[in-house]
Amino acid sequence: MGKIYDWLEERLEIQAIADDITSKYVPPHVNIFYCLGGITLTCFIIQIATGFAMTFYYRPTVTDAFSSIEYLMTTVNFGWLIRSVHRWCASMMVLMMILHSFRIYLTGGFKKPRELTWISGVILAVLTVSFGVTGYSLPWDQVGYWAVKIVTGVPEAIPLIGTSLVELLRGGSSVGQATLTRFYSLHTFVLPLLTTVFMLMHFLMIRKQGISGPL
Amino acid sequence: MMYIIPNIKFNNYIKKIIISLIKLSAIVIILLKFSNSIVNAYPIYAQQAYENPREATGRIVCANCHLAQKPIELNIPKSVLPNSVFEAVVKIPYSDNAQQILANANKGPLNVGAILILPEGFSLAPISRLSEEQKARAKITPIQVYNNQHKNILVAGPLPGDKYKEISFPILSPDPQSNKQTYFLKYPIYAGGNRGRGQLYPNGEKSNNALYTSPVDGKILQINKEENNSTKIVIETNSNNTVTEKLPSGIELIVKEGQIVKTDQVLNKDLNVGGFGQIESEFVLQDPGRIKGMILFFFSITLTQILLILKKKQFEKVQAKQLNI
Amino acid sequence: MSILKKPDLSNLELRAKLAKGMGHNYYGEPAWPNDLLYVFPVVILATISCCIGLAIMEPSSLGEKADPFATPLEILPEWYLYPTFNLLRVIPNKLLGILSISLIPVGLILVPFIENINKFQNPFRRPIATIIFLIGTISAIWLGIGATLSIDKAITLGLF
Repeated sequence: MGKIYDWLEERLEIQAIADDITSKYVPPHVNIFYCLGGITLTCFIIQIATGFAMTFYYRPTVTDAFSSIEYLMTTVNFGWLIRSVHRWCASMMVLMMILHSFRIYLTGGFKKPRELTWISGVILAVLTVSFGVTGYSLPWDQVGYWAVKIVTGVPEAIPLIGTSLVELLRGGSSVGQATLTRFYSLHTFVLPLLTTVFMLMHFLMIRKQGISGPL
Repeated sequence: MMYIIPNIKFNNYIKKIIISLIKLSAIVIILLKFSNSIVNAYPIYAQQAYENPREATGRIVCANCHLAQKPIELNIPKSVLPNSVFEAVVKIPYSDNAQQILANANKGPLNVGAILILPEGFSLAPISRLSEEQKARAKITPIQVYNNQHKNILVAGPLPGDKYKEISFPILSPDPQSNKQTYFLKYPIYAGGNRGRGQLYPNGEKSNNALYTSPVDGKILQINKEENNSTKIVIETNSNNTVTEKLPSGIELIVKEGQIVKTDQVLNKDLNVGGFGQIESEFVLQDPGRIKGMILFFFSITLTQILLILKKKQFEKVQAKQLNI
Repeated sequence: MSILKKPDLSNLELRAKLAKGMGHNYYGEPAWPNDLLYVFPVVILATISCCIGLAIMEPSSLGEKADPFATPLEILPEWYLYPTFNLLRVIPNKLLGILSISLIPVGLILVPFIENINKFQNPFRRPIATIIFLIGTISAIWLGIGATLSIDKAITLGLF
């Protein structure tokens, strides 16, 4: 153990990281409501783990998507558990995120100098909801299909760019394979990447400024 | 009627035509039989006309004749164990003193009926599996299987509404261990319930419980009572043609001779007190092994948490000593 | 929380930080190991077991395969979109509906800049912000409930 430590210390100066962590304190005004953001992160990590596991079985085509989910739910060992956890944890993540924003708002945690942390938080909230919207359609079941049809049709009402925006979302004028491919790519690639970037920003700013002060 | 003509070799096509003719005549016979008596929630109409009573949109076909909508309730357990009997109760509420117009134009009590669409593999519980109380109830509640292809669809009715505002279906859950076609999953269950007569007959004809509307813009020339108490309304259109609208006995007109009417203007009073409602719910076919595993898992998690907190308390004592020095 | 380190106010660097609203992570209970090693796992384990417990008791349903030719009787999005869904439903002008929805994140982003007019954090010392919060939350819940009802009850909830 000592040798590994020395080896790493020589190369990465891990002692500095350890010192940084041990020099931090949690002020007495912190209570259980300050856990909500951390719980949201925990949920996100569970989502990554379960989502990753499901990509082994899910097939993002309009003909196969539903049957692959059926196979996952009925035949794969613990497949039902993985998917159910993914669904529940998604709801939990949004709920915890909402409660976290309530805590921040009510304790004035967004006030100077933390405006940018708040903005990155709002962006994270939008990303989280986008996760929900794109993920809802992936099983390609009745509810998911019609929900995506309605959601992607919403921008139609915007003048000038509305129609092209709808086509951009759907990958065509109607909902079909192109839409599913797009939503799958967004849900498993684009959104996780963006979320990770903004989460890093969120955390680095918190790390830099420390927790907000007492009321 | 001649159903079989000897000495002719039928091909399939002719056979099909004959079968459909027989079916049609059966429907006509039933219609003739019932159209002059009380017409109520008759699941038999659906059984004859639809192989699957739930359309792709989720609409239950009873709503094709029972146009009026009234809410119903469905009571089922949140989760059920495999190979066990549970009850699904369809509640069809309506006011106790409600009276409806009957086909013979008299007022009478309402009948009720219900349909329950179970997931594949679930079925009506056999009498031998029921408790004494359930047996007593099952004896008086006639519940049928919809048809042989769909043993998971159950129908009941018409039943006297004063006794059956709650229709209880005893159901046997499958065991995924022995029946490999079923799984431990969350399943949807669909129920429909009706009270009172419908507005349309299966042949599309309106009953005297329906609203009749003027087919054209025009003026009512005559209102004649026919000998069988039905009503004939003669409407003169703006282009001086006459259109005759026939209304069955029992309806109450709200228009007078000489009145100007518009297209789709209602001609009679709405006497309907009933209606059909459908509802869907979900329940879990639960594996007892999963519950056991979950309890074990929770126990280990709680233990870990307690140990962590104890360790923290112990370490705080060490810290307190260090700070005091 | 029995182990507390008092803020070292003789440290000028810390005082400068506190004056800027930062540096609240330099006093109180040691983060390591009291919080990070012992309390964090408790919360993480609780979160995981919550998700797993719910997933076992109420697993996801399968639904029906998508049928582009049969519109289901009821289409609802995820629960957290109920308020916006209802808003889109009841606002007759679709463009206005889209605008009102896109105003939600925009409004939220502007919150710190509007609220920086005072420096109070306590919700009781900034009553307008608290009232806006309460009204916003209640109306969101109200609209959310309305989304599950038929369109004629979407605003009134059938209460009046």
